[in-house]
Amino acid sequence: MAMNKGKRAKILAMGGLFFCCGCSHSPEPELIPQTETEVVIPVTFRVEPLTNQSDNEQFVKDFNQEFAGEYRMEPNWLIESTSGYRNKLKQWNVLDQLPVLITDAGFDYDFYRVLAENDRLVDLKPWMEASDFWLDAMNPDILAGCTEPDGRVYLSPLGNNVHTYAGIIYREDLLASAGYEEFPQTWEEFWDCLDALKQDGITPLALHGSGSYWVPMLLATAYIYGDAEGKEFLDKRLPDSYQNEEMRELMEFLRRLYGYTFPDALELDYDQTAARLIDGQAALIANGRWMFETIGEENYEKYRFAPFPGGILMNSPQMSAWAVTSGYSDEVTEGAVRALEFRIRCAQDTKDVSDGSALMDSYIAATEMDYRVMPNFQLQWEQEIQNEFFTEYMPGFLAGEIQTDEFLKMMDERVEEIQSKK
Amino acid sequence: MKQEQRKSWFGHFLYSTRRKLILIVTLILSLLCFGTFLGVNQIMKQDRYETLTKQYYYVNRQMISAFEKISEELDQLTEKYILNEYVQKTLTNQEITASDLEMMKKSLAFYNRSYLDYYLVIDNKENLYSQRKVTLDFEKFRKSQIYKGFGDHYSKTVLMWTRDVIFGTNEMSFFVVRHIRSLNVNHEPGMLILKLNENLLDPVKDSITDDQLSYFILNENQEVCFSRMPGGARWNPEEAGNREILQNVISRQDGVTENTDWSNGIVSWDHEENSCFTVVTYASKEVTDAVISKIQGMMLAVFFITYGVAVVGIILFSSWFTKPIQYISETMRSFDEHSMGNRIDLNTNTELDEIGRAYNKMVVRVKELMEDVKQKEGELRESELASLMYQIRPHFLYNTLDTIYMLARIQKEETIMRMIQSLSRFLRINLSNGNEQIETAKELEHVSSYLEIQKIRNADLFEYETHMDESVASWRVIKMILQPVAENCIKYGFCDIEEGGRILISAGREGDFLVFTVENNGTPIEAEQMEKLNRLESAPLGEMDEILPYRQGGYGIRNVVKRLRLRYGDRVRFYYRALESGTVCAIKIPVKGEGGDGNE
Repeated sequence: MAMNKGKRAKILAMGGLFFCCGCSHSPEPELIPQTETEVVIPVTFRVEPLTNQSDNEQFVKDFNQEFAGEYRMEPNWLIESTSGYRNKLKQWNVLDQLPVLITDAGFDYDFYRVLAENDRLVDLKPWMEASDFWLDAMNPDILAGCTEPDGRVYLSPLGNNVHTYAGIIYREDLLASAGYEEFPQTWEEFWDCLDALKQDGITPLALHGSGSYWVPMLLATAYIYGDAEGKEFLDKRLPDSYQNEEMRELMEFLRRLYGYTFPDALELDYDQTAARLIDGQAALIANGRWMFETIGEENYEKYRFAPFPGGILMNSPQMSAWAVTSGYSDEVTEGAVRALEFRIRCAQDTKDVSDGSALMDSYIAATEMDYRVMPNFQLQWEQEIQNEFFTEYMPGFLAGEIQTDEFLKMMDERVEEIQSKK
Repeated sequence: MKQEQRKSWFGHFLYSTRRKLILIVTLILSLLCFGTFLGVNQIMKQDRYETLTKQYYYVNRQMISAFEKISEELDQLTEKYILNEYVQKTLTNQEITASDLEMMKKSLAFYNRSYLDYYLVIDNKENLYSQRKVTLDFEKFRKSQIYKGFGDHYSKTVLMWTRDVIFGTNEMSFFVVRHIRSLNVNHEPGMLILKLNENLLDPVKDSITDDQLSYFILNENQEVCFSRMPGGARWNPEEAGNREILQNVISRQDGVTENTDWSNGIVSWDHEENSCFTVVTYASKEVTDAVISKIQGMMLAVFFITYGVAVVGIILFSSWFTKPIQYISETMRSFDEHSMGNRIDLNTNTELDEIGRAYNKMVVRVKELMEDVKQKEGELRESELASLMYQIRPHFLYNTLDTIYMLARIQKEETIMRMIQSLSRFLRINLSNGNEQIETAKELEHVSSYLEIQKIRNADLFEYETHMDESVASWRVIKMILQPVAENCIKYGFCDIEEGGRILISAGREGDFLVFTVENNGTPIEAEQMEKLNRLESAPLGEMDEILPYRQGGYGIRNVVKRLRLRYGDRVRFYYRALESGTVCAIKIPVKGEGGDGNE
């Protein structure tokens, strides 16, 4: 098995090289010559289709520079949306074709369980303990969130939260034209702002209609997290029932949101919506720090980052976690683990994320405020609810064809079904 | 005689430049070819195993490569099944509706391949989905090779050759199995089983290029799942030789490429890493030897082509070179006094032209020398004759003989008178005032005078008669050609008798020849002596002295023949013939026209 994986690693590495040569992607092939003793680490990194850039390009260069002669990361640059890449991860897993180093390992709790419970991932705990800085660099809460009940650690998130917050990303100039120098701090002001933008002929919100309804659900969950009941509900993992007052509020909030977005929002996926925001067709979106690469540095002065109204930020370190898959040779596995360790070290070195741009400055300012951190609903709720049920029934609900209680009842029924399947 | 002919042919063969060149080239190339042949043969014998095993390793790698393509193809095919929406649905506890089943069948039907017989999807609740009606005893199934093929792999594609215990054929078939894992949720895996037919091996068959070898594919239990024998023969595992072939492989399998050489040929094998199948190539002794023979045949062909080109080259080159030489050679060989006018005319732009010119100069010079010699000889003879004439002082001699004749007549001494008269006539004709030629009648008179004197001297030892055809009386002929012959008649013909001898001399005409015959009735000439005398008319002038040396008393005759040949050429005939009682000598002199000077 190890030999097969080793061979596959070479094939993937060669495939990655071929891919890099054949596509129009901007990352340049590295000029560091490979030596015979170098261990090749096959990885697949996503390239943002909108910008044709990958935020891991520099990481690969730095790693190969640092470990020249010892390890060499051979990336397969995959031009794919985030959701597309995550689907690929699932396919690679069932086909036993996972690259040795994977990103977004914790994006889907169920999928993560598939990986963890089938020994598809390498336990990083011994490596962390053997490292002279890795454990120290980890925020204890983040490490705890990534530790299995038996003490194993499969996910390697960045050691601190600074890179993983989500909130509101908005066009400063458009809000200014509507009379808002700063982003509203209460939900009432939020609605007023949306109205003002709308009155100004600007589409206030960039929303989409497929998948887990990520952007609208971020706003909606932030809305209900503002009170104690809502916080209690969202803090609960895999709730048995969604038929409660908080969910009713959330659903009504969702329905109201879609009055401030593109008329065809339900027909768009996340990537199309993001593209419209960057094109200036909408004033704001809800998303995290990771979207900055999609926006592009040249646009950093136009955009600002703000917490959700009520001083709420979403943080989900697991979402950004990387992992090492099992089945590769010891040399390749060790190289992949060294890459994870290197990533943590790099993140430590660049803890101050400010680059002087208005967007980054606003992001730093938001994370330094007195905020509350809400969990990621994607990791709290059943994946099938998000990926299938929402896709199936949310359009009907938003169109008024399905009433809130009916929707929540069906949701509970699906949860029961899912749990029975498990 | 035959030996002489062989020598002559061999000499001629060696003499030819072209043939010498061909002989040398033949020898060199033969030695070269023979040496190379032996050397290569020796080296090839040493390297045969290494060379052939490399070649068969390459053949195996081609088959392995084809096999790897099959593995990749199967990997991709099973991917489709695993990722199929409806197949994935079977893994959850969600109810599979009739509509779902129909859709599954339809969608899986799209994955049909020429090598695919049937598929079977077994979900994690042991429900079966196939285009055939399949019933499965799971207890037995779990003991089957097919089930064991899944092993503990997460989702590896496994190809196997085993007995069909699922689809009811119970035959050995190819199967590919793979776990079906859930994309989203952690479930027990399902199982995908595909039954494949022999079309699966089409890429392997296509990769086979050498029909002289035997090919086998063995599964991990060393069972033959594919075989191809030379000439379409069928594989019979029971045959002793066949068992030995695979035994070589089975006994030495260690997971790496191997070759073995034994008395019956070379077996080479290689493993396909993913599927654990073994590809075996067997080359029989005949095939491996054929390779060497083929190479040797090629070498011989190259040698003969080279030799042919060399010979053609030599012929073309030498014909350009030897033709002038042959021309010079033939011209020189045919050189004699009659071909003095022949000249060598060459224009080859080589040194041969110089040889031709030198030869031409030489011929001219030889002709000049010969004429010079002939002229000097004539002058010398005339000078000698004049000197003799002066010494003799003929008028004084004739006056003295007349005085003696008158004294003998006064004293009535008739015998002396006849003798003096004959001597006087003999001397007068002998001297002829220094002329070389006299009339035929004078020549007869001269010999008659001589015989008259000899008759008186030998006291009636013989009688003589002369006859002459009057038409030749005035023909001129060199003098003193009959006297030496008549002298030999007396000296050798009548040596055994005291009396009764008879000499008959005649002069006549036969066609274009003036013919003299001198016949005697004495002792016939000895055969050995006659053979020597008869050779004089055709022997080279320079050799005449050796045939008849002066000491053996042949000077007179030899001198006559030589003078005749010098004067009249090689058409002159002079020969003796022994008679039953006596000897006859014939002299035939060619004439140009009638009435005098018949020989000039």
